[in-house]
Amino acid sequence: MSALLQTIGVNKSFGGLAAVTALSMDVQPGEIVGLIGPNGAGKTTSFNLITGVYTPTSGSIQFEGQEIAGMKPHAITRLGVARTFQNIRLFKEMSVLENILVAQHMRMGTNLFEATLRLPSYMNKERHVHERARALLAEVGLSEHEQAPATSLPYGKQRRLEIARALATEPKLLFLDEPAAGMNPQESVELMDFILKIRDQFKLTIVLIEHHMQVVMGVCKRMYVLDYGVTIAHGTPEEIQKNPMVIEAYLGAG
Amino acid sequence: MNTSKKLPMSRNTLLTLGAAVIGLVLLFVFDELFDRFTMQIFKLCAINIILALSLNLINGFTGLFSLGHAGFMAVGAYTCAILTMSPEQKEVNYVIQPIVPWLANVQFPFLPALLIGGLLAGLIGWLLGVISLRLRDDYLAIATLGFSEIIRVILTNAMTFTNGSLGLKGLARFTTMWWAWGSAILTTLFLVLLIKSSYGRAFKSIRDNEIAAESMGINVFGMKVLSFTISSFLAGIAGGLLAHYLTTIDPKQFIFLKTFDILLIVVLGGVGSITGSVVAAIVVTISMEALRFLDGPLNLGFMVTSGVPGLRMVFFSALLMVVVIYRQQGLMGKAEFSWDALSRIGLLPRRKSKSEKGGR
Repeated sequence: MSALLQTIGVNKSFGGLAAVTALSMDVQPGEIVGLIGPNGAGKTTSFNLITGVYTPTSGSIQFEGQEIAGMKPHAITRLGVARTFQNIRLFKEMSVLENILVAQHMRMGTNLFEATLRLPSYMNKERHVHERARALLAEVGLSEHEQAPATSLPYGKQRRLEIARALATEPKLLFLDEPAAGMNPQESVELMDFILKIRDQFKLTIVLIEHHMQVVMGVCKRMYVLDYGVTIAHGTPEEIQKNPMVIEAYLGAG
Repeated sequence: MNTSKKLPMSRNTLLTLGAAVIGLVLLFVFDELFDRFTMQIFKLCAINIILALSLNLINGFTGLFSLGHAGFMAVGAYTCAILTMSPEQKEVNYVIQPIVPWLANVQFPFLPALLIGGLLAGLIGWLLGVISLRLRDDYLAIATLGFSEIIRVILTNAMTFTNGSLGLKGLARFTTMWWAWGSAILTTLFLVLLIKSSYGRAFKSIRDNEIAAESMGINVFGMKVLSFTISSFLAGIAGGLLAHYLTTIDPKQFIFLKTFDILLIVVLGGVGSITGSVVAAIVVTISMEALRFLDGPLNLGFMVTSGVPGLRMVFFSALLMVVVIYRQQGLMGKAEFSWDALSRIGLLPRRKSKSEKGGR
C-alpha cells in the first residue's frame, strides 16, 4: 500500500539546536495517527515542516508520492493538506462565516476581473462558497454564530471553527495541533467523536498532536513518540504504553 | 447575496440611487456656483480621496506599512505631464538641456496619458513589491520610504526627461471638476467592490494573521504584490490628476511630507475603512485651507504674532497625536457606511422587513 504521507530522514536545526532529527514517519490513507511527546519535543516543528512553514535542513517529505519539502505552505494546502494551530489563529477581525469563506478563496478559481465586476460567473461561485461555508458551520454546530466576530466565541467553539476552516480548504490530510487543549473531560470525549465523524464524512486522514492521553489512545490506531526531536518509539497505543523509553521520557529515569 | 432580493428594488438600492442622483446634482450646482478658488479646493478633495483610498488599500486592508506613496504619485504626475505637453511647450520648458528626442514630439490626449502614468506607476509598484514585500512592518516602511526618495533624486537629476529641479510649468488645466470627481467616484466604487469580493477577504486575512492565511491556501506574497500594484496604479492616476490640477510640478512636491499628508488622512479616517478615508480626505483638505489664517499674523487679544508659516501643520500633527493616543481606530475604525447602520443609530426610520442582514 502506498503511503499518503511519507517523511524520510527529515532534519531541522535552528542554529546549533537540532529541533527535529531523522523524522521518518508514514501515514496511510484513512488513518488517524498520533504524535506525542513531552513539551519541546519537536511535535509542532514537525507539523510546521510538513505543512511548509519551515523548510527542512535535510530529508524528504512526500505527499501522494510528490516531494513537498521546501514548497510554500499555500502550495501544499492546494495539494490537499490542511492544519489547525496550537495557539488558535483565527482571523480575528472577521466574522465566523468570513473565516470559512477565506479558506475557500484558493478553490474558487476566480480572478480579479470577474470578482470586482461581479460578473454572473463570479456571483455563482460566491453563492456556492456561501452555501458550502454554511453547510460546514452547521456540521460543526456553529450556525447560529455565523455573523459573530470569530474571537467572540468561547474557546471550545473557536477550536471547532478552526477545524471547520481547515476543512473548507478541501483537504485529504488534516493536521490537528492539540485540538483538546483547554477542554474538560466531557468536551474531550465529544471531540473524539467529532474527529472520528469528520474522518468518515470527509474521507480524511488525520495526524494529531495531543497531550490528553485519553483522546490519543481513544482515536489513534498508531502513534509516534518524540523526545528532544528524536523519534523514540512508534506503534499501537498498547505498545507505546508499555515502552520503557516512553515512560522514561515522560516520567524521567527511575 | 441579499435576502431582500425578491423585491424588485430594495429600500437600500433606492436610497443609494437617490443619493447618487443628489450627489450628481450637487456636483453640477457646485460647478456653476463656486468661484474658482473654492472650486480648486473642491477638486483637491477628490484627488486626496483617491490618494487616501489607495494608501488605505495597502496600509489598512492588507496590513502593510508602506511609506512610498509620494514616489508613485511622482511617477504618475511626471509621465502624464510629459505625455500631454505639446512639442512647443517642451521646447520652452527644457531650457538647460533639451528633452530626449524620442519624447520631444510625443503628445497624447489626457485620458491615455493619465492611464499610461498610472500603469507605469503600477509597473514600478509591482517591481518594488516583488523586491521589498519580503520585508515586514517597519523594515518595509523604511524600504518604501527609501524608494520614494530614490524616485525624487532621479527626477531631480534626469534632466533630459524631467527637466530636473526646474520642474514642468504651464501644463494644461485638464483636471476639471468632472475629471477629479469622476475618478474619485470610480476609485471608491472599485475599492468597495474589491474589498467586498473574495480578494478583499484574502487581503484582510493577511492583515489579521499572515501564517494562518498562508496555511489556508492564500498566496500571501502574491496577494501582497497584487495589493501593492493596485495601490501604486491608483497613486499614479492621482499624481497625473494632481499635475494637471496644479499645472506646475517639480521634484520638491513629492518629498516624504506628501506621503505624510495622505497618511494623516488615512489614520484620522480609520485604517481599514473606505468611508473613513473618503470623509477624512474631504474634511482634512477643507480644514487645511480653512486653517490657513494660522500661518498669517494672529491676533491673540493681548498680542499680535507675526506670521508663522507652517503653523497649520503643527495643528494637524497635534491632532494626529491626540487621535493616536485616544482614538487609535480613527473616525470610523474599520466600520463602513451603510443605510442599515444609519437606521440603527436612528438617523433613518427602521425597516420593518424581517431580513436583518444584507445591505452594502
